[in-house]
Amino acid sequence: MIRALWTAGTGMNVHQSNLDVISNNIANVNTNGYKKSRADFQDLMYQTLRLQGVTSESGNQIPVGIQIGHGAMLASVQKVFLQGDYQMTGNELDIAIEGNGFFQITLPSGDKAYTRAGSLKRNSEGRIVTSDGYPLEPNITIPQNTTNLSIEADGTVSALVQGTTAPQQIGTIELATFQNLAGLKAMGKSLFLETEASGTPVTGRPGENGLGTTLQGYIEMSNVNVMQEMINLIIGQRAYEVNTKAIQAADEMLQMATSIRR
Amino acid sequence: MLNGLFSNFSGKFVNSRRLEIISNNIANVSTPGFKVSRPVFNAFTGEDESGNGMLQNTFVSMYDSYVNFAPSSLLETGNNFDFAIEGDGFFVVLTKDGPMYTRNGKFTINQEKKLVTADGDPVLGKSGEITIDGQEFFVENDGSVFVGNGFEEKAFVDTIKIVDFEDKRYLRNYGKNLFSNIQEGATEIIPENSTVRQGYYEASNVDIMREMIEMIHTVRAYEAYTKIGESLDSVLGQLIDLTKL
Repeated sequence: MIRALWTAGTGMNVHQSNLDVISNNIANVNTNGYKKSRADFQDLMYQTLRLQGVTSESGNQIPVGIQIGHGAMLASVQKVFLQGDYQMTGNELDIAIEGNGFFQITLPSGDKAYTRAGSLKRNSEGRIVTSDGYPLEPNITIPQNTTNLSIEADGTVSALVQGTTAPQQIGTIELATFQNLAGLKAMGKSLFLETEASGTPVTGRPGENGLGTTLQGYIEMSNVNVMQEMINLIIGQRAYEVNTKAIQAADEMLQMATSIRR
Repeated sequence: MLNGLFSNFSGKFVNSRRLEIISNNIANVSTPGFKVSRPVFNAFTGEDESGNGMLQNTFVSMYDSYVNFAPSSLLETGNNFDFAIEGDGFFVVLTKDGPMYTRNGKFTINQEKKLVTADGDPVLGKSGEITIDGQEFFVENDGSVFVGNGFEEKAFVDTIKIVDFEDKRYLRNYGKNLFSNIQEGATEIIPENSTVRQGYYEASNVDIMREMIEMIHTVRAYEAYTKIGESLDSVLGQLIDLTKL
């Protein structure tokens, strides 16, 4: 009886975590380059009261045993790297990646981070940086008095400087991808970090090695599907509710048990 | 009279066990590939020594619990590493306790590029662990895994192993969405007409409506046993009071 209380408690626990994950997805429905998370569950270990297949006293084989489970647990919360929709902005430093790959960013600590949020900026020195001011890797500096900046599908960045007629090539955007995207660690700010599970990054120019191509003037929006999240929210809440019912049932029965002796 | 109290107690006991199983089903209402468990009750009757067929020592016990392997709905995720089996059969996962069987096809890959479960246990193909080394990854309906790089031609890697058993009663819940087979000498059979779907997973086959009804039934049965216990207790009390004459 007490076990039923704990079992239903584990069910409430996992659905609360589920709700946390869904809430975060919904909060990031307009975050550029955001990748939705998904909570996966598992059943907990079972207590075997009687093993199936053993022979009973009368010599018969017991066909099935008795197993009582202990509830559910959170197995993993993984990022789903489905492509988000593109939004046309016309901004020359908004770059979307069509296909696989991440922009490489150098953090202040010197470590590398990876992002698909392509709303890039230029800082006071003319370097291409993220909204947080972290420079793009490899570093690209836009010359002063640039009137027009063009980024090709293969990542080539060319600038047309005032007073000249031919655009000059100032650098190339390189992308990185990983064997196991789900193994990347999200660090917030739409950035991801390499981990043991993700494997080492494979870098290259856009369009090579299975990497996607770059698209200037567009940004990749969040891949959160509001409809899907709403359905998950309803299912999550109802599942939570039905677990509370199980607790109530256990409580009610416990109360009856304790009231046997008045 | 006391026997009545004992059989009454056995009724309460099996119903509390039943609620434990229902609670576990409900807790796993969102666990992918979960299969619902049900208890089976058994009436025990014994005749007394008089030979007149007088019943005594009647009680109820939980005889066994079984897993209902009924298929559940397949949900689309679009994620390349989610798989569902349409039809009979199980994926084979190699754990430290030997091969285990699961209907939960939410896999991922590890740093060695092996197809693994969320716990890191490798998923088996027909020729062992499946290595996915490439940018693109497709699985056909017959379970054959292809890996491709960019626009290059796709290369066949292995076929995801799907097995089934003659007698599923010997499949035991292991936890972590896995089942272990404890039948001695059981042979894995290859199910016919089973297809693998990439980008889908199988939902839990727990039906909340059914569980709620089971739960109400359990609580009310327990309540009835309590009431009968109270009557038996009061009859016993009156009997004891009689002797105080």
